[in-house]
Amino acid sequence: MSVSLRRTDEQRMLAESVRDYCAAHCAEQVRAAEGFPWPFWHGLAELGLLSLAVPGEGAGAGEIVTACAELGRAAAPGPIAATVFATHALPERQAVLLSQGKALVSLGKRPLLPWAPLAGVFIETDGDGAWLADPVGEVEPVEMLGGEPWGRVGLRLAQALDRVPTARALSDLALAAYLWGAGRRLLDGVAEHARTRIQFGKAIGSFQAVAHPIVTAGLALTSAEKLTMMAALAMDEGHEDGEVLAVSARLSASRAAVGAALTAHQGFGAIGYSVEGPIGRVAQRIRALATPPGYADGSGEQVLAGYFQKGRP
Amino acid sequence: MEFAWSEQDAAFRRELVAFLDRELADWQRSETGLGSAVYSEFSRAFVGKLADKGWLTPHWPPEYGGGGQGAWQHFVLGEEMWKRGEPRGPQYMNVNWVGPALIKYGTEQQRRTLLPPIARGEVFWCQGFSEPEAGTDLAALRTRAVREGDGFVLNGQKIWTSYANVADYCFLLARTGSTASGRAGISVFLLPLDTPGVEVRRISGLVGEHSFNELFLTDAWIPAECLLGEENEGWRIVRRTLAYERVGAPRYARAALVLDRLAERCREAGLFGDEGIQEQFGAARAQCEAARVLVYRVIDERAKAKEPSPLANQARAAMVLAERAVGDLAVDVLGSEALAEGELGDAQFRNSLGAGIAAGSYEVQLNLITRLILKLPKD
Repeated sequence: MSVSLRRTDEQRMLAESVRDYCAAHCAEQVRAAEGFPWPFWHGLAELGLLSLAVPGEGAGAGEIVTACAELGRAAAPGPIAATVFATHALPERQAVLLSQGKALVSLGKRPLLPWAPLAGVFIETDGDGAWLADPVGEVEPVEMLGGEPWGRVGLRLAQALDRVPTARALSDLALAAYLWGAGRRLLDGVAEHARTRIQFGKAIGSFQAVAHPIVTAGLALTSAEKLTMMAALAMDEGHEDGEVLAVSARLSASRAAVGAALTAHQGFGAIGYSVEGPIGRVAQRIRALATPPGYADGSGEQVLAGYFQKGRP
Repeated sequence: MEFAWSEQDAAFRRELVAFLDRELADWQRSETGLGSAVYSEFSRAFVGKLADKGWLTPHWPPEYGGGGQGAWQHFVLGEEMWKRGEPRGPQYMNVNWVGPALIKYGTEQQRRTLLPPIARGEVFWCQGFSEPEAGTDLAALRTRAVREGDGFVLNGQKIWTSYANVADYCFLLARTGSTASGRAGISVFLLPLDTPGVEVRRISGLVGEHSFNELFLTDAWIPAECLLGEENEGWRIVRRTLAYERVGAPRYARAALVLDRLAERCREAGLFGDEGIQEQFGAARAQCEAARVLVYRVIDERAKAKEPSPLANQARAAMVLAERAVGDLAVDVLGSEALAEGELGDAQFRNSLGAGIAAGSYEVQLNLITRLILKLPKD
């Protein structure tokens, strides 16, 4: 078997444009904004990044993971993976609201949903099916680790959605890519700290107790990255393993990103505990995004089942 | 070492628990996070009540306001307090190691002046150790103390100083020897924070409302009576002090309580049928218990008035693992709900992040264990 996991020229250009946009527009005050940074989000829409998953738009899983990895590396705010899900599964009329950045989507399972206080579109999912839903009553905001706006909300199901399995796989891939990008950001940060922070007369990176965990966390991130790219390729080629690989990629990237966050915290010491510091907010975001949502409890079983179907143990 | 509690200690714990259940009925640590103004005010009032019962410094000698009780009773207090989110606030440090350091190394005048207010629960102390260039490598500290007249002039900067914003005194390390003197040129000063030339700036922290502080010292003059022990003998004092501090926060007690609450949640949600969850619970519980037993060995040494030993490093490393195991478990079993602010998972995750850093990094504990317990060569 020979599969190229290298990016195409177009994907490299996409990555570069997302990176440039984030470098210019995703400053610390955007990430830490009290309210939602709408201008930043509108800019993502103008770049076409919120419509990558719209059926028939010509983009595929490869483009989604390419863009989301850069967004993760920039620790960009917003319901990125949920937008991928929603723009793929929703009817055009609602999808357009989201892909043009005019509304945010809340995707989850009652009662506690991410982005609910700001959302204009609600989708409930139980992991198998998904429904466009109308909120019932007020959304009760909940402060969450990671700083994203969550809320408790009642929902009335309005319409069953199509293309759910593919939408779920694409959003799994988006999340996987975002998480390894964010994990890479923290690991690059702590590696730089280990190169420059002097204690006991030398850079702390010269102590194996500091260096080895960084290497180990990096290996996990690289594995997750390759698995994510492999899964994206499988999805784009319509391979039967695509969906299972996408779940595997999400689980793998979740674990790797949390590992990178903990490693970064340990390497930065007290500096990591300062709210204004280089890693605190991102590490919390990672922990929150890596936590399987209520509707995805069975992810591990899903991966195993994929193997069983093939007659492998 | 005895594994059973004496009837006296057990009775004390019963009485203490009843008192705490009553006094702390409305105490929500998550809402009034460590180091916040509300927290500090609460702890001021609460500690006064403890002092009235003789439960603030039961392990101190009676002549300095103590109860003359043993190390175990103090530790029972520590467990029950930490479990409930340490309502003593900064004063747990006062009674755990600041006071004992004064008792051991202080002059009679220092003891008479500084210990009774601690025993009455009237003062906050903070710990001025870390500096921007001296974290794990504490002996690299640069804050200087130079003799001038009948005192010292302090210049330098401390950082990550919890409670400096509310404290009355700082247990401060400063260099009295030459720049290259390392451990041999450090002294301890008992610095009143209202000394002119002392400035405190806040740094917002990630755990609850907790904040760290920076402490700037600019030509701050203090009288010679503020020196604790001999000049340039500070490192010895600190080593001993840190041995107390390493087990001063019985983190496993909090972790074990969180674990119990998680178990209740799982039982209610019918999740305990899952073998994977059972196994994770078992492993986390075992780590909490291992940490508890290792800490008890340290307390046993202290109760028998032995010198602090490397057992403290081992106990501290075990506590880090226990706290992390419970943090992971909370998020694994509760999912997103665990991450709502103030929820068990959120609080435990934030605490477990700090576990490997506070009171000396985990890696340094491992290094000390390899050398002092396993006797592995240094280089």
